[in-house]
Amino acid sequence: METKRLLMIALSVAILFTQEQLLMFLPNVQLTVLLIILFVSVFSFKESIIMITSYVFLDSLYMGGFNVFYMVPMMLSWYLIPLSYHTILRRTKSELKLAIFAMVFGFIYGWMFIPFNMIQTGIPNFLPYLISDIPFELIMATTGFITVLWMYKPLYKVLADIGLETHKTIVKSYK
Amino acid sequence: MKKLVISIIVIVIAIASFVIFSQLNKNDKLGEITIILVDEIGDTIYNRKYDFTETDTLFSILDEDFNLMCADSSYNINDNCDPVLFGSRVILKIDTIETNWSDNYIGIYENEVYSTLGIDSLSLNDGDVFTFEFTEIGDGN
Repeated sequence: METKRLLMIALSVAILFTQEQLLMFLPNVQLTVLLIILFVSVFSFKESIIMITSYVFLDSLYMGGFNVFYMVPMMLSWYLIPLSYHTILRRTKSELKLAIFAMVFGFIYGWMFIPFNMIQTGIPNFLPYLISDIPFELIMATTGFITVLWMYKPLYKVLADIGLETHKTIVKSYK
Repeated sequence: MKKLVISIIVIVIAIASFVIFSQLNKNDKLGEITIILVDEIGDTIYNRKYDFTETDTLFSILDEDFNLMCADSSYNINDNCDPVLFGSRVILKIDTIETNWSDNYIGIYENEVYSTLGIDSLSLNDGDVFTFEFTEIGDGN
């Protein structure tokens, strides 16, 4: 891996972590979904996984001393972004498609924690967890949708201008 | 223009959902509730009935009689129990019942059913019994 890209991964983890801490006073209002979608769209799949793993480890170390009940669902949820981007989303750059994905992701992120909370508390009733998390999922889904819709394109342009674009299309010539 | 319209629609739907959600969670106009405290060895150390009106909250009733300490944003114990913008406060200490969140917490039972809602999200209905119980992580019923 090029040193430049390695440094960009480290910088992206720092940006993700810092903005999350700055916006901590507003529950579920953050730019993490936007930034991960943005970084995933310029990094390769492998680079994205490295970035997300580093970010989740850093976040879990700082916030909860590697509590597996938070770290594992967080890791699995964030991994869904590069997985979806490189499969069902077909590496789209359409801000509307990505915004809709960010909105859906807001709910999936909340649901991912439910089985782990059930194990942690030892209380196996699924529905109350689902209902009590709806307001937070709504906040995350709305924030994700709005931020991706308005900020993805300008931020992507900044990253493209500094030469961070990958996924160059190979066009076969039959001349 | 299209982006602006879509954004406004999404924000309006989100706000409407919040309003509907909060309307589902209203107190009775008048009534009586029972508050029970259970300590770390499972003994009931407090059991009393309280009258309430529509404007009371479970937190305000509890706060009148007990020394409460809450969790801060990092879930450390703190004597600042100011209301939070979204969601609910997390009580870590009620008088002698003190928890640390990572190994134990204060579980809330509404009419003997474990509540996954926080103290600020619970509405007061006449005859409700709220039990605050010292709970070890993983020991729920």
